[in-house]
Amino acid sequence: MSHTSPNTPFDEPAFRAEVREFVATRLSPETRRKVENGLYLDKHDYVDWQKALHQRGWFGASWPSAAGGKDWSVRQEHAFLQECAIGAAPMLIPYGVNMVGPVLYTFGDEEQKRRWLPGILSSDTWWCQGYSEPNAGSDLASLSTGAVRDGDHYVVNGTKLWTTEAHWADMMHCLVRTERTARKQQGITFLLIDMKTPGITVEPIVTLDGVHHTNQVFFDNVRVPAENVVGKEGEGWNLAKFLLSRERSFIADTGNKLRMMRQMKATAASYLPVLSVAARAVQLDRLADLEASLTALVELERDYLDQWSEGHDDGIGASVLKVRGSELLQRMSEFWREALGAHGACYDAADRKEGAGLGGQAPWIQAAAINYQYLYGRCWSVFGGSNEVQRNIIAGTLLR
Amino acid sequence: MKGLDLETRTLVAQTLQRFVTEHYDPSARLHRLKTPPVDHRLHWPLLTELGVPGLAVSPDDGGLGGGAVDLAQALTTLAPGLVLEPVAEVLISTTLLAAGQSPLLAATLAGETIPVPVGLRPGEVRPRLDLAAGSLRLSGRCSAVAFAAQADSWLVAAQGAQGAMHLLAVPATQNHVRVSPYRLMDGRPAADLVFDAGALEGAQVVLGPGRAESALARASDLWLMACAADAVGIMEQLLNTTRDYLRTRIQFGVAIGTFQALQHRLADMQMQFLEARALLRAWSRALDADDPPDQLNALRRALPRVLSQAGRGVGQEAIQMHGGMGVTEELVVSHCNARLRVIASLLQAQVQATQTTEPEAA
Repeated sequence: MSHTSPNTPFDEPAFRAEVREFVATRLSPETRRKVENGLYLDKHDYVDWQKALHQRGWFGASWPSAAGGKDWSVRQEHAFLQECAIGAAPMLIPYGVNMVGPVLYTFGDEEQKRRWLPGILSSDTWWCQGYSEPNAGSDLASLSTGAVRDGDHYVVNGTKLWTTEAHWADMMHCLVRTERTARKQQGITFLLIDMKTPGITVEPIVTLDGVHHTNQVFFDNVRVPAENVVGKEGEGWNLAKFLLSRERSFIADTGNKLRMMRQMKATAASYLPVLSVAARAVQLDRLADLEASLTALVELERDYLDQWSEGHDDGIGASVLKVRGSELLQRMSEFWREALGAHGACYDAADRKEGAGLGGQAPWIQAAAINYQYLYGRCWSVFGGSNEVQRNIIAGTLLR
Repeated sequence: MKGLDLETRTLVAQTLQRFVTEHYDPSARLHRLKTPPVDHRLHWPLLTELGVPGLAVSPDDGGLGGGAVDLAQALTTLAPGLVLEPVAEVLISTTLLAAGQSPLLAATLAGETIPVPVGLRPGEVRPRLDLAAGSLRLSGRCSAVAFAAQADSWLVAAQGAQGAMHLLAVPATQNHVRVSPYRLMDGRPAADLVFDAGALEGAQVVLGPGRAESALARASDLWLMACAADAVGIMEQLLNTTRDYLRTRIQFGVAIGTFQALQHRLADMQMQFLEARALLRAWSRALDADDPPDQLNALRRALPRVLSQAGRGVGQEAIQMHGGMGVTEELVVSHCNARLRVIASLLQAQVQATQTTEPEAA
């Protein structure tokens, strides 16, 4: 089963204005200040914003009304996310609302829906995603974390890697192997695991930006109730594929890039006057190139949304948007740090925890926010299916 | 909403598709190019009969009433033919003639005369106009004017006193204009025109100050759209050809499309094409909808850059992937690349014009 989007009509300009107004008035000034200045966001920044959206009925609004949503079309969801990001709202943490939620209302039984969906919508339950493993990255189906049935429980042993924000999580949606079969896509089961269960250890992994976003999670005889299996045992791969197909409408993340372009141009403008005429011409040309690429990405995204809304699907849209979006983000952050001249060399992750960030006068303080984008930006072409895998998918589809 | 109804639009596309199939077989085209003098009006009577010159002119003025979206589709359909007639040039001329209610319009729609625009490309220096003493005098140079030496008349965008824009219709036989004709890389003709400030015979003002400004701005936006449509149609053709070649060309005992080194480059070509196509669609839609100036400006700045880069990526990679065949004159691939390079060169002034916008400090 693939994800289908409703075609609920909406007045786009009016709706965008409404979202802008909401972000302007209801986003906490402290969180906005952090996002505008490229500072570190804490768990409560995300949760508070998601709760404000929930109150307004805008969290999980693309879910069907029967599951507690508003049947938003993919276009409306996209317009919403773009305006939120432009207005400096934090990203919505996808693991609950965009991943396990839709899996539950599509494949879950009534008891599972009743038990888990409300906590996702209210953001009282923080979910994480247990997919990748040390030997199952791009080749996800090679995963080997095992779950063995023992009475009315499964006993889970193994390890998950790159589990983002597992240290904040209450629950994990996890792919485990319940059977070793000839075809590795078979025998995988979609299991919900309470992170407080005895036997779970979360070890931090600090990424190249010096920040603790992600983790390795170890399972040592972790007993999980059998009623936490979603769908049928051994059919988890279909659920995982379904879940990943939902990411395509926001994978290009244009709202964030539009905001970043604004911030980046402000940085460039303050450093241009000290450059020689020739150096200034080079910078302006690079900037014009990046702006052209961003305009192209925005239109490419819209083109795909149009196609999807009309029921066309060339089968490569998510991959195309992921590659173009992540590579543009990287080019933008490279330009941004180079705009600082020699101070582009500065980076202290501690300067993102407090202080002025991009709004600071000192270039080394600005550099912390900018080089964070650069460093963390290296992750984007790796995670979510590396760009090499995406190119395989594109070419494979074209040459089929 | 401007433009043709769906049925007419489909009919136009099918007709032009057939025109390309029947009259622009690549080997016939190559033969035509290799047998000088090249007749750049060979298929003009047929194109006229099909209504091409008046595609974007309103039915009241004798045209089909197409919008920018219709023009984009027509030119994208014609693009794989690499046609040697001045299609885009005349299409844009007729919109200008219609704006000025010029008597030349009817004759152009009837295929009796061929006007081409001069000094229209954005970012170009335009000739100066001197209206003194009851005559029209132009001075200055225009570079790479497509079909200048083949046309019957030139529609010159000229700058009068205090920079006021004018559009003149100038018969193409003149004592006071030096024409230096040459061939472009894609086989089309062009010329440099040097105006020596002498009185022009038979020249007329089509659009005066005020009206000329907006009509020329519109025409130059349409010209950008025409370049984009041409480039997108050609890139699509190159991707089809390259895909087929990767599937069928056997080396080392396997189809070369099984090599990941080539697969990833094909993926890059496709992504560049998709972005260019998305921008073309957005641009033609924006021109029909009279979108807000901000949106138009962002697209106007993005298009020349994206088209040049995508055209280079797709065109040159298509040659490389076709190997030895790609570098022959016989195969259409190199001709497609040549046309893409020509488009990029003609867009260069506009690319450079976008460099000068300084961002503002926050």
